[in-house]
Amino acid sequence: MREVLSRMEPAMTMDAAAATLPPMSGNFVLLGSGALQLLLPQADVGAAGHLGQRPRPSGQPGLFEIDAGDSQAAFVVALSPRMEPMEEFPEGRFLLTSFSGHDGLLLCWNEAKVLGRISLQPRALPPAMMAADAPIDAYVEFGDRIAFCSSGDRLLAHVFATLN
Amino acid sequence: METVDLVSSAPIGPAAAVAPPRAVPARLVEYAPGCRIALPVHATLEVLEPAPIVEVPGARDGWRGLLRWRGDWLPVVDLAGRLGVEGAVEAGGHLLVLGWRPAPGQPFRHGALVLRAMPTTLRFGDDDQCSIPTDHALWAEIALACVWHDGQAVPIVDPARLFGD
Repeated sequence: MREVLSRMEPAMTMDAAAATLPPMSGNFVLLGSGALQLLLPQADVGAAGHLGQRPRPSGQPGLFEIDAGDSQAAFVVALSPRMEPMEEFPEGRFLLTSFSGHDGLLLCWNEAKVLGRISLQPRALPPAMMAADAPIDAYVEFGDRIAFCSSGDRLLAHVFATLN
Repeated sequence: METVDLVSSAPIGPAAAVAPPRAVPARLVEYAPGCRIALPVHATLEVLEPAPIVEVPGARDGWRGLLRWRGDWLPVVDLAGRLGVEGAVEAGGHLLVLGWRPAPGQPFRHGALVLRAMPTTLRFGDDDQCSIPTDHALWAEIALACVWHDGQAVPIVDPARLFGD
């Protein structure tokens, strides 16, 4: 027992807290909504649009509707910092993005920025921290901020799972 | 962010002065009311004032998120939350920075543990040893041994195992 308590060496050396993954290069989109910052491959994200109207409740918690023209409606979701659909539509979300292969569902953000031809160094999140179906497993640093790495398919699969 | 340096500090708490022969010191950390774990002294680095924590989408229960510390990002865990016991600290509690080496020769890693109160330091000897609790499967994953103190089993937690290394 004494060995258990005394065998460790002082741990003050500064080293990385998270395992470093292979660098990512290419074109990405940084999507922000409050504390939630996501980094997705640009190829996964459709064109960004302006939300010109306040979405109305669809009847399903976390899912809102807007008029999309031609008497059609589109569904809109606003994500919380934990990436869960918010039941009250928040102020300040004015950007809409669609996702390749997921027509009819739009996510809204405060910020959408294209990062073209960039090389980024992702850091792994501790596997013990993450649920098996978590939509992320790594992050990248932008100054004093971080963005979580995901993909369009993982993000939308998570949104659909949390809506149902 | 104000911090308390635990590495170079004197032992914490009045009981630290009472040192049974051949006993070694350990930090005692209360993770829920009346429930404590012990940590190797050298693994405990700093007590931090409440600091902003970035929530991590898809994190399991008890994992608070990521904390900016000395230019790095540390995972933050609330042991009460991981064990599913009452008494999890509301957001904004003090944090204890832990350090460990996953394997000999590998770089040090760091994580932060949510505190309910300031850690204390006691000394334990082989006579204090008892069985690791079996009331939660997590103890078998994270505890290296266990000591009996104040009528209670106090698991000695390995920081590397606590943070999944």
